[in-house]
Amino acid sequence: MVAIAHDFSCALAVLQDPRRAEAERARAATLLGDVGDTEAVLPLAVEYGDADGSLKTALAYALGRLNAIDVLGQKLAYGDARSRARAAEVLALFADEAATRVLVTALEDADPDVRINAAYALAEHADPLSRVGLARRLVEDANPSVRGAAAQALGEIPGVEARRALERAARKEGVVKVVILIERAIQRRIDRGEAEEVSLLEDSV
Amino acid sequence: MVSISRAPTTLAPDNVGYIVVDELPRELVGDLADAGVSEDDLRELAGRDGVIRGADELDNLFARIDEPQRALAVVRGRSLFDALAAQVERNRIRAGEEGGKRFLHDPVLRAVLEGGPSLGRNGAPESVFRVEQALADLGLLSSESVDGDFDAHTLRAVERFQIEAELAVSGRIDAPTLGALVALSPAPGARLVRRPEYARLEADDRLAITVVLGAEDRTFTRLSAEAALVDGLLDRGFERVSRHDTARLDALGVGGVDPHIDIWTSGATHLFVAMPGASMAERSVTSQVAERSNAVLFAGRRFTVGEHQRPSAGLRAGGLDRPNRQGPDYQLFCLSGCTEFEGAVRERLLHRTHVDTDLFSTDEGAPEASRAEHALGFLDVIRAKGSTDDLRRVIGDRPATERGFLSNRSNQAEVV
Repeated sequence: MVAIAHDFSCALAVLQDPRRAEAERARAATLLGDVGDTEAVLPLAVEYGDADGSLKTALAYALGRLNAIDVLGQKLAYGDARSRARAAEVLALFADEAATRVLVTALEDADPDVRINAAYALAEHADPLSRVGLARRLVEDANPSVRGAAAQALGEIPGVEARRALERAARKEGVVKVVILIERAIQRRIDRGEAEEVSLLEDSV
Repeated sequence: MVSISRAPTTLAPDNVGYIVVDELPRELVGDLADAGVSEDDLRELAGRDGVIRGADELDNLFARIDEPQRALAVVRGRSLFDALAAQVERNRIRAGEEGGKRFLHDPVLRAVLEGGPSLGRNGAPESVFRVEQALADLGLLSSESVDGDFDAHTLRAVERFQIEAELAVSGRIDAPTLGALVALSPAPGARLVRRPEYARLEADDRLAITVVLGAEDRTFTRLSAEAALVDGLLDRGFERVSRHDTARLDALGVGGVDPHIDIWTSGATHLFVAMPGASMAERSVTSQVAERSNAVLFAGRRFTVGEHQRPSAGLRAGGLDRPNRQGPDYQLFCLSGCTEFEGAVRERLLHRTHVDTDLFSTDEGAPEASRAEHALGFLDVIRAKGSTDDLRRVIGDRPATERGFLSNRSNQAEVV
């Protein structure tokens, strides 16, 4: 038991040391996955966001062994507010339907920071599955920062329905900051090649 | 418009006098305070060099004197204007005596002063050399360019001097220009230390500010940075002008700016903001906007300028790849979280000889380097009449990551 704990902390130290060779860090990641301690999920996920090459492959292996999405989903559902917000942020790294569903649920979290992080994470996934949940936050949330984050995220969701949700919200929104974020979200869609239909937007300006 | 002009001397036009705040008699400082211009006001007008110079600054000083106090001063028989004008005249004569030593024994320059032909390309090398030395001592020309050859560097320095001395910009050494040089250049062997005073340069529309905020190349990070920037600009009283409000954009003189760029305005300050989420197209148009705007807050995605990408669109932000004669005289680059981009910018700046540049950057690994607050911090310092030193404090006490000060005096990186 002591030996495993030692392996765990050593492997974690090696993984988190950017001066180490990529192959060495990749071996450490694999070991952490094999040890099976879910405490490694967060640090592994953080490294996963920045990694590439063989290290990324090893991290994906380890996170898969540890059922990372389930672990983070548990944190998101039952942790304290800070842990939930952090879990939502880390789940952004896993563009996976299971992770998206967990995050859509988190859009209804009691804490606005969790809702904001969930919206940004869903923007990273860009899955149409999240459109309805985001559109609801955009219209219904009492917190303008959450509405703004939902608007920004909807800017990343493919499909004309997401665009329409933004345009509808622009006409009703009263907070300047949110209006700006809606306009910018629409502009980003146009930049990506979506046709410009400004009539609805102009009404809101 | 209040004028203090006296009959111009043959050596100096009437607008090149100045007032040294620390040399004002205490009695006069007291009278000015009674008339509504405190010593702090004087120092604010004078800026970091402690000198109120040029027609605009002197007019600003007079404009601050309370109207009733002006009348009172006249009734009392002691005109503040006369007292101040005497200071200006005293310094003009002093400057002329000190600066005039440079040109006393040059027959060509003496002829110019007496209304003879002006000096330009193909001017006598010895005479050109003397003028170049004066320009270099004023901080307008690199010492390497003091060579007796009236080349493009000399031309640019002459033009900048003519702008600063409020003369007709001809690019030639004519009698008014030489007269102003005589009056304003320091004594031979001395040098003026020119340090940018950003707030004043910005007010004169002579400063390009580019704040480049690198963010991690993840949607999550750039969306949160975008929201923070919007919050921060609104908190600072900036208003975003809709791209559809063409009448307003035209009224602000920024019509026709590419729609990728957000226009934010507060009073006389306009920001051209390219926010996170910038596509390559957005980065490209930023270069065009940067060349004709006085401030660009460019919060783009992480820049990676590799072997095959450079200089690419990002580098052209600020028109770094070619001379821009219509552009600003000074530029201020604040780079945060974009180490590789900073290296490429720096390389380009070394070839840019006509614009004084301050370049600040932070290490990509610095935890605060990718935060919108950082860019907004620069903005706060600039708008609060910040100095180079203030900006350095915003960067933080990290000398290892500070990239130093670049100027066109030598156009070499000079770490300060």
